[in-house]
Amino acid sequence: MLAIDPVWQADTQQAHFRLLLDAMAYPGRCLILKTLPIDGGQVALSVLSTLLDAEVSLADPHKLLKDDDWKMLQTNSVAVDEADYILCTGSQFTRFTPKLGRLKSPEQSATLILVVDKLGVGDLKLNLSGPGIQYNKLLSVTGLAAQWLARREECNIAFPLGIDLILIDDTQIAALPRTTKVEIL
Amino acid sequence: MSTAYPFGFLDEYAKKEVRRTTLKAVAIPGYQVPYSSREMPMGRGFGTGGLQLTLALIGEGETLKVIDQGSDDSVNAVSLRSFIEMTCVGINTTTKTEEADLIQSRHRIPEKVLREDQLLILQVPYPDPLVVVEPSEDKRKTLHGEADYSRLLVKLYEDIVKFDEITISHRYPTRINSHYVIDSSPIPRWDVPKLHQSSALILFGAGREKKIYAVPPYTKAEPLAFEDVPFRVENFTDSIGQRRSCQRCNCTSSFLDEFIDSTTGEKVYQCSDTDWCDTQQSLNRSTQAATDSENVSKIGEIAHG
Amino acid sequence: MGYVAIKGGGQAIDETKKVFDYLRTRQSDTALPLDSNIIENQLRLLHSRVISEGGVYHPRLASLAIKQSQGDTLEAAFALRAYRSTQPRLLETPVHDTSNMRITRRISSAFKDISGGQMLGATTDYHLRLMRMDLLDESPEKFRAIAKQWLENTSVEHIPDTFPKVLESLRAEGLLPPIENNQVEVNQTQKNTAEAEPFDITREPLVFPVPRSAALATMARGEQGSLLAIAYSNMRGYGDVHPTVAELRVGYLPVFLPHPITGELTEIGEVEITECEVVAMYEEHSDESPQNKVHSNMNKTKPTFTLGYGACFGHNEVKAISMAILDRALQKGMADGPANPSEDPEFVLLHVDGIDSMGFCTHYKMPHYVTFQSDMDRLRATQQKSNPKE
Repeated sequence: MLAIDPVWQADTQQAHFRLLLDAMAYPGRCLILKTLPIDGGQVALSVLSTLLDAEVSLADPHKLLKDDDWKMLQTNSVAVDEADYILCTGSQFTRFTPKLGRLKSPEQSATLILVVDKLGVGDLKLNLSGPGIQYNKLLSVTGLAAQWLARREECNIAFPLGIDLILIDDTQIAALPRTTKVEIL
Repeated sequence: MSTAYPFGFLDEYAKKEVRRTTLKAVAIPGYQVPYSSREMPMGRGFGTGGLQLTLALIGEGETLKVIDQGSDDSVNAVSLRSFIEMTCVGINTTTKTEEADLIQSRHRIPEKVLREDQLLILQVPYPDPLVVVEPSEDKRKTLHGEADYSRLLVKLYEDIVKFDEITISHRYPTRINSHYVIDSSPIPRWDVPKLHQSSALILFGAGREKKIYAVPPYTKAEPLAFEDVPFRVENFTDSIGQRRSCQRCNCTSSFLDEFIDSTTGEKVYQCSDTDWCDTQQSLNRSTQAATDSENVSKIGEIAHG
Repeated sequence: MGYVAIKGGGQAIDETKKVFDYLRTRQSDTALPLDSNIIENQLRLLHSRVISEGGVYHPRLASLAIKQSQGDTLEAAFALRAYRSTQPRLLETPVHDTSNMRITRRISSAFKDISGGQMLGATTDYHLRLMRMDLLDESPEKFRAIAKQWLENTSVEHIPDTFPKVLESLRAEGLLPPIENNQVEVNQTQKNTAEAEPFDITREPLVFPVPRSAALATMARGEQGSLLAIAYSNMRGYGDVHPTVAELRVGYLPVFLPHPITGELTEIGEVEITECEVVAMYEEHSDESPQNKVHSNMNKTKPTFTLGYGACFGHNEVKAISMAILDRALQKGMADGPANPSEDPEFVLLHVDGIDSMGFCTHYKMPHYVTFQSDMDRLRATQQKSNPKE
């Protein structure tokens, strides 16, 4: 009997998408995933399975995914500077230039998914403000190299061009759209 | 031949595309993100854009409200609601704004203030406010990217010179997060201030034009205006300067529909938002009941005094 | 499950469905319902039109669509298109070669005679448009005898399987550029697809400028009247395509898919299509727009004919010819900038889809009283300003 991991099922993906939407609409908010991949699978699959299909592309420079994961995702594997979605380990900064979009089509820009150790706890303390945040929001993170945030700021310097971030730990997600101002405390 | 539809009518790939598009729309406030936009069984112009958003976003156990012109009973709202009930088995529907998780609406934002746990989806016929000054979509995209709305402001100014007023009634151009100017959709000016610093996320779906855009929560939404010609909402004062009230619930703080009563032939004003009107009516009844019982007690006191 | 109770609006909608179906069925006490086969066979060309505009080759459902919509082609195409939305994408076919078509009609205006011959087939082109009164009272016996007799008198022995393309002879002589140049597709999107991949209009919105494949796909399921009107404007002078039909062919194209195990291309069925290729000639011009070198057929020494292509499901010649003319006009418009509406891709491609246009036209009948309230407010305010009260 083939057990289909719930992350590949339509109702799970709908629920996870609503969490992603909330995360993007209320940056810095940490939201608990409904299901995690079984058998200790890559936790980022909860997010990737919801968003990816054959119409978009993914880069996995830190090799977080297995071959079987790619088969299930049915998405296109491309170089990191061409990818619609990029998956990386948060604690390990790698310098590259993701797709930033064009003035006429800023949506053709990458979404960077960073797998961190813990959201809501940690020495890296961020003060967030901007659309989606009523006054300001504090977010602590463990396992996120600060260089990612500096690089994000460089990428986002010319709005509307830029990239959007999704952070994921072992049970939660949070998001930082390009409009969020991040101050490291 | 079976016509068993998946949950939400659309296939999963269609839903994923709508979802990806929506995330980008939230990340780039006010920017019209293009998507392929599936054909629906109802006509283009009947809310297929809003509908695709609802179908891609709603989940089992959630509660949906659908309104058109502020009313749950308006024919288009009824038709959309039945379709969504039929294709999303396991959802609830309601007329009460405060009970809804998702609200799909044509031409109105509910009078009751929305919460963070609610989602508003507006149906949009024309997503692009620059259409009046530039017919080419390609050129418009450059203007939007550069936040160059000078031609639009000139058009508004020409209105003022000609009519001494900004004559735009609904679809008022509104600047989001100090960059993109959106067509606020055919909501009356009355509703435009609700876009500013809203607690809830507001999504805009244009099915025929194949665009999705968003005003995130707690975001600046500024209707275009001039220092000496401010933005004004609709005026409901009568000839002697009194603010008109709803004939049904007496409310003087809501957007009113004006129509001719089909039996008496008289001009009538009623709340456009039917749920709001119903709520005011029941508040009136309980206030009346409380006053009545107070009066009864007082009379009793006097009688037995 | 908590649902909103049906009130006035819901009842009104229910009643409209009932009265609509009443009109469909009120013929007489002895009337019979329309049979899908009758529609597919005796209203063959209407049926073709609906399949073409619906954008999915499903003859049985196309008949049903016509039946349920009581003959409204826009509504019927709409129902088919909506049905298509519910079907998942399984596979994409490889590129198909229309010289494999099983021909039912094939002509060329460019030449008096062509290899394989001018096969007029079932055309009305040379009919006199007189009312055939004898058809008013057609008996079933007479009706059935017609097909029987035609088949008895027809020999199938010397009909070739396929017919060569007329354009091949023009290419062989160098009057048309060789295939390689025409097939290179400049992919204008940012997606990571290989070059020469056709644009999928059901997956991506049209973001101008669009490649030629996007224009052709949009027109292939475009509404016939819209395409004809705009093409006609070009024919009459709002444009200068001056086309000659090199070939018009109608017939059945075998459809091939890779076998699931062996991968070998296997025929899974056939679809009826109409294909039209027109040639047009342009004056010499010296500008070489780098984006569109493929569309400028001028090398320094030798001009060539330019090509317009149209193809659609079903038997629909007016549509295929209109498409071919518009294809040529749009290519010119994309290369040199539009000089006429028919050459403007945004104008043409955004206004020929019947489902989009009819939907929006129909939506004006929906309640608009809140927006109208807002309009009245503005007008009253403006009137007051121009005629202030004493």
